[in-house]
Amino acid sequence: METRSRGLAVAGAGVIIAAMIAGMVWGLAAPLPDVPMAAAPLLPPGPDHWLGTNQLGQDNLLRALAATPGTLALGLAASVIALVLSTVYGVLSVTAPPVLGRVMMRAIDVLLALPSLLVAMLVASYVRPGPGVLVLLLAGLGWPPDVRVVAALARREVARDSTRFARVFGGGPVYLMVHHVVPRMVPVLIALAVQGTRQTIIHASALAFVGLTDPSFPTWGGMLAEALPRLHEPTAIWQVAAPALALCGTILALGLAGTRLESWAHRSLGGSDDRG
Amino acid sequence: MSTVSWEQKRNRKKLSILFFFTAVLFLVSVASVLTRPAALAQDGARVVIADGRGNWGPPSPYLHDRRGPGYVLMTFVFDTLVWKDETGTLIPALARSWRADETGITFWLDPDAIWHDGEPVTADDVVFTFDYVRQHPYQAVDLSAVETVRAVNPTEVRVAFARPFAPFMANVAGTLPILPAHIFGGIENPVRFADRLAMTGSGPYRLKAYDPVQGGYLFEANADYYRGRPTAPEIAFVKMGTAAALAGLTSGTVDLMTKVPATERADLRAAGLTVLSHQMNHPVRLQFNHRHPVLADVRVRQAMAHLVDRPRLIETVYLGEADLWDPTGLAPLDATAPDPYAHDPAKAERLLHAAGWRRDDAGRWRTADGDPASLTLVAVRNFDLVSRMVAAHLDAAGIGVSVTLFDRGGFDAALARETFDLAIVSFSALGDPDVFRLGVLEGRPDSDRYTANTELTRLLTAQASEMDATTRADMLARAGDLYAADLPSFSMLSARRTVAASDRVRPFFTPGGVGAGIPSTLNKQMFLP
Amino acid sequence: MSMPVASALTRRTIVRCIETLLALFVLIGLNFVAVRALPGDPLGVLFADATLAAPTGEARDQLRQMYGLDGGLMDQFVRYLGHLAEGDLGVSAVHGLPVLDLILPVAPWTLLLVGTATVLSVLLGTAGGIEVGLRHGRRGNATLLAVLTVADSIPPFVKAIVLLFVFALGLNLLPASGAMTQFSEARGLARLGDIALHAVLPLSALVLHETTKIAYLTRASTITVLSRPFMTMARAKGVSPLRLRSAYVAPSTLATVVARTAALFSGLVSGVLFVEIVFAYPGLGMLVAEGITSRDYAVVQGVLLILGVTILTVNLIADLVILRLAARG
Repeated sequence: METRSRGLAVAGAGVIIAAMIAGMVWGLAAPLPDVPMAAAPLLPPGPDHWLGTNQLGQDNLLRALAATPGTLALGLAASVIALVLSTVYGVLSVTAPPVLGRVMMRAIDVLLALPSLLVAMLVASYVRPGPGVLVLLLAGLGWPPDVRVVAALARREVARDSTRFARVFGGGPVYLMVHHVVPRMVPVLIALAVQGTRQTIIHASALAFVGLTDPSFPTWGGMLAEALPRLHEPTAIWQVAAPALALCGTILALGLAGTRLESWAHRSLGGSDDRG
Repeated sequence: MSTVSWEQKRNRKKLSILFFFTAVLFLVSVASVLTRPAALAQDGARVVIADGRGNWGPPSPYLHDRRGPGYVLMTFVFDTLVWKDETGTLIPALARSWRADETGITFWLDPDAIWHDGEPVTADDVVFTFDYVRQHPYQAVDLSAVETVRAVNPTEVRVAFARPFAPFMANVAGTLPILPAHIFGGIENPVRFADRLAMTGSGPYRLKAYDPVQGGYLFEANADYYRGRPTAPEIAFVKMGTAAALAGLTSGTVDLMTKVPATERADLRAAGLTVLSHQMNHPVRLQFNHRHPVLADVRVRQAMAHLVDRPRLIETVYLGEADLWDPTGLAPLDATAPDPYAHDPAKAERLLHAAGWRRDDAGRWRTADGDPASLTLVAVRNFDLVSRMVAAHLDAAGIGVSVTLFDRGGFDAALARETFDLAIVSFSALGDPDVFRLGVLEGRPDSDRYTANTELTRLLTAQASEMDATTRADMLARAGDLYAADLPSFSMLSARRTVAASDRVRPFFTPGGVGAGIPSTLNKQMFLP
Repeated sequence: MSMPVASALTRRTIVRCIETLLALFVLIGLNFVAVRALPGDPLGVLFADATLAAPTGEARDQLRQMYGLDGGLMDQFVRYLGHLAEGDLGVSAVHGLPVLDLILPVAPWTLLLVGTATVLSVLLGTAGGIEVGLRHGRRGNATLLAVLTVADSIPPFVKAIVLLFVFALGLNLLPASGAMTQFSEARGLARLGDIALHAVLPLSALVLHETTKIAYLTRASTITVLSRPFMTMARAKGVSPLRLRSAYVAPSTLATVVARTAALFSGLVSGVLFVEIVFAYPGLGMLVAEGITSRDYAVVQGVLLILGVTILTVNLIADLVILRLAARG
């Protein structure tokens, strides 16, 4: 029973990872061309343009949709990288000698104390990241929170009898990690990845709103920033509606998926974690 | 049972600690806001000017924001030697009269001029200002042509030139604010001198209050002003959002709005307000990196100019509030004359073919070397919309363009690195036409640095020293024609600005710009009798 | 018996203080290094918009020295640390004023928003979360939960924009920008009213954001508390609804809320930046935003440093208080 559900988990993880990679490559490496600027500027919604047009005569709905693959790819990429970092760090801190492990966790506490969005703004204001650097920046700031969860889980897995037996029979730390500890954590890792994506998308759109990202890379936050100075006009609501709906919808969807995945992860690990 | 209530007690303690903590925070914040410095009395006779930004730096020469409005507000407090009136003619300010001869200019100062602290304005102050500005460069003023400045007597100053410099009267005498020697003397770092004293000028208004936080200035009239008491006893220049300012105009609480959206013009006129629309003279240019082989051929540059649909740009990005600019660089396009670079894809096609470019099977252009035509365009963030549309136009014709946006500092660095192919640049073309030379040769980070045409270079360098107005105008016209033919950068269009005012103020657009060439309707003359 | 406890408490206190100091050091270092590792020249920003010639050559060097932008990286850092020790955060290259002089008049507005938002979101979030939690399993609960979930998915700046659009611009009920009417005469109550009026919308945007988070947490802990014996007994005793909530449920949920205070404050400080930008509220957020666009090194450094230090301090105090209570309790 356990083997089958674990097999399913790994297969599911594989599918998701494949989808992520495909999305990342497509979204970041082959950006869609700019939406055609053929219509009259600042039109209200009509049969041709369901959410109206912006100042350049571009369809608002198309623009919001065009930002989707890039945004999703960015979120996925950043959260996956962050997850890899936090997994490695968390497992290492558990398998390392106790003193070193405690120091490592303390270091995480120090990093957690820093307000991540502010630091992101600080760094972004000087680097003005394009999509690639933005992924690295958000990953670099998003990995400390996950470490705690990963470390707690890893501790549990390492204490398991099967792992202990493997160690007794000569398994080295890397072997243990790869074959015993990490595979069992996969459901939780997937849930964390999805939640991480949601968080990253929120941060990325916040940075884009403030104007700290490269505006040639279409983002919903950037579209909202464009609409802000023109809010006094009657057509402004349509410029705001498209990116706002897209952004909130995505965050909502990811949130719901994340919650579902979390319960599934807890179930597959055997029981609830209420007595944490 | 007792354990439970003990836990409850502990939790209640936590609860009370939390509430105490947050209540303290709340009270501290409320108290700190309430103990802000006293607000000022509101006056029925106060003139209220609504601005979108509000804060343009303290109105002192070394402290104000580098951009136009910062300078203009400073001139309310500080006077120059001469100033421009409604017709753009130079009229006396601190200098009551002046006379130019072969070696220099003599200024006779107005003996009634005094500083805001009561001290008289003397020739020593003028001499001090010139020396000080030479040591501590002031952004808008070029003193390289001045050799010596000497006080002949307390009301007479003699300026001697090292070489003839045509723009002197407008760009120096009419721009340089005179500093009080008894205050600025001994100030090593004027940029850090932010004391109240730094705002001591000789102008028609004193700074009564300055709110950098919310963006606002309160000026009070200088009753002892040497050219007569200003008409408005108080001027409040405040930051207001567009919606709030429009409402204020119609209700009478706002007297002047510095930037009105064009769509509101009709409504405001109907409400009985004065609506002024003027050209900003800030042409947006598509600069070609002529040092790159792909753009070295003038036909390629001209072809790209023909590919840009400028009327469409005006219709969308500027919503109609812009004028086509003459490619010769200094003036709007004459409506009656034909546009030498009209949107003409067919002509562009012929030019590119002549330059050796060929279309490939997919319809995309390939350069004379056979590479696919793929260019990079750099611009400042403000020009996001313009650059995207220009890129779209070129792309539609088959030339790939990728846009990278920067903000100021990064943009200048990108220009200096010269790795770009196209750039969107813009600076003021108002004021003395010497700005043309700076734009083409060098002197600005966004200069074309185009020296390939020796005749053009010669004309531009010579006109700055040409004192005869007609000859100078002729040289500039010829330079303009050469420039439009060679097209190191293509002057596309320039925005218009709409200003609205109640009947309590009478704003006007200063021909030639305020000071050195700032397209503003806030000329202090409108408040003088 | 109390000695080992006291020494354990002291040890934990010291450890927390050291952690905070380390975090502070990382913040300062990051602050400084990130700033200097830029492409572009601040001098270029300052003079790019000049209507006439931008300074070149000698003039540039003079100006650079005037603005304190000269010298190698190490020199600048040492000077920076020295200035920090004196409380000098440098001089804004754009405004010409010391950064501290720019921050001090502006900080109270941000403090007003954040302080009031903290109180309100804790109160409303706890109360709301308890209500939703108590209704667990009943009708209407699903809708409430759905509303909470949707509200939580809307980023703070989107909430701010929607509020601005609907209440300020659409219905014209509240002012669209600023903290109070400028240069106005109002004193005392009238002035307080003016300030309050301008603060309503930004506050709402902030409060809405954190309230949903706290509501979620409170709801979750309310649900776990529901099945505990003392709750069943209280209900059996017929305790009044208000007393039930305040004396029985709330204290149990406060543990979660207190634990979240650090994140709450951090979230509010980050959120207030965006809210200030949308509402043009003249606080630290606007200052930072302007500093970012004009590449005013000193201002951005100064503000983010102050904000970071405030967050660290608040968290430290909260943690120490909790430690103290835990040790005593």
